[in-house]
Amino acid sequence: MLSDRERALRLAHAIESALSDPSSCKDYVVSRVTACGSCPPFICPECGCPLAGDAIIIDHVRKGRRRLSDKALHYLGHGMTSYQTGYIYQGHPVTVDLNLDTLEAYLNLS
Amino acid sequence: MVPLDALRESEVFEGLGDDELAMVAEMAREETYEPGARIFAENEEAKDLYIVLEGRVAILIDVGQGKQTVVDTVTKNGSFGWSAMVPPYVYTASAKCSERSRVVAVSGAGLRDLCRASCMTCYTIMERLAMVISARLKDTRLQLISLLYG
Repeated sequence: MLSDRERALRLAHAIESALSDPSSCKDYVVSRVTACGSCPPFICPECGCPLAGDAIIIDHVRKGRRRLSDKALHYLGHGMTSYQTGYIYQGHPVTVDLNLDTLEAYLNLS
Repeated sequence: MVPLDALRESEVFEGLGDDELAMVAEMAREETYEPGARIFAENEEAKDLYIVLEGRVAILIDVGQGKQTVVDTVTKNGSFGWSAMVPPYVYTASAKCSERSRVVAVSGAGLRDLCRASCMTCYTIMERLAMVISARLKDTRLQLISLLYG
């Protein structure tokens, strides 16, 4: 039984692998849409890595399309499933909880 | 908070990632209306963009002499109230429930702030919104032809 951290790392690895070697995937394609270069990057508070705001698109033959931010992928790579988005609404930071079950289904990991 | 999946399946927000959807969910609230209830009226200040979760919402325009005509009907995952995203932020039509309807109201001011924060997010939302407006224009044109020529 994998922990949430291990599942997050496994997801990040699967997405990175699919981006670098599309032929390794069955039933799905992962692509990256590059963000506008004029927007200020988000800086990861964990490691200081700048994230431009690229979109990661997973197209699954049966499940359809799922979109992730580069932030989500980056945090998965830290083994994290919950993080602050960097958006502030009415003075409060907005957090997101990634649904590991759903993401695993898109990458045939469930 | 409105469930992210409800937003993800809507015609306006289906292209957004979890980060943006979480932000939209923060500025959204669920509302329920009975049949015949008016959600907003033409020429009112446009504060919210709406998504239908359940039910049917008729979009009507004033045609003079106190009469209105239906130009479109919005159903599940469809949206209305796009004027909340486009200056001068005044509704160009009225919205009235044809049956009991559950909708999500998203703050137009909040959405515009979100758009100012990220070009990518803004492009995704506005592209989808342009599709909604284009479809509404087409439906209105058909309705106009119908009114003119029977």
